[in-house]
Amino acid sequence: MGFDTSLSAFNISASGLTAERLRMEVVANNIANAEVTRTAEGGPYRRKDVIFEAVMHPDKPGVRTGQSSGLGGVRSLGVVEDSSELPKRHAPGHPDADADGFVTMPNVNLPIEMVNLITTTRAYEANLKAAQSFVDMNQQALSIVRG
Amino acid sequence: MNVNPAGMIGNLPMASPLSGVQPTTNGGMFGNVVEKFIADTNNQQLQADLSVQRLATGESDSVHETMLALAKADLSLRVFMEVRNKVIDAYQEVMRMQM
Repeated sequence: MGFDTSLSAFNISASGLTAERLRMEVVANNIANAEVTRTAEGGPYRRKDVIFEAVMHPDKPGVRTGQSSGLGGVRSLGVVEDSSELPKRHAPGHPDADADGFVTMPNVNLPIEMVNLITTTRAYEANLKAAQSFVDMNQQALSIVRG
Repeated sequence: MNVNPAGMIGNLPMASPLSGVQPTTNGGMFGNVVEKFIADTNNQQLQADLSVQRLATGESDSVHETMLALAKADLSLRVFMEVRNKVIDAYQEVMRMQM
């Protein structure tokens, strides 16, 4: 309550920033593991993705969440694996190659990851801009009393 | 035309201890409001302090949450200062009143 409720737009922007940061981590992990053929679960690395969920408390605005509108921003439900087909590369000298000389590679597609990287950066910027605009709005509201 | 005598002014509800708000030992309503306001502002400062400490000690890894906590503390202090300035202005205006 109090300032926590009146400045609740910050909490929403913070949840967006946290979500985009997690997405950035996942994209970075995908790029870092683009050539990994061995994982703890066995087999090559599988591309990861994040699932986001909107947080809403329409029944109890301001009571549980400290949000005046009942809007709670976003939260991540977790990191999921991309189950698409793993490509095979002909590399007979590779220690993980099968009998025909093919190595199963991760299903990470670098151009796609680069696009995700850019959209994540832009989304982070957008959330930051929303928070900054909220600061500006509040300071403008303060200028009412200054006359 | 009916002109009320000057003596009638005594019947106006004045902010005296006899009528209206009763000043109590633990502060009146205004005192409570100010107290809560200060506590809330102070709470934001403490939260910002804590989040800076958590970031510096590596307990937290999100820079943005610390920055937003700082922005919140800054804004709440600004709001508090504006209200304080307005209250002081009003008080001085009353004290300047000709008797």
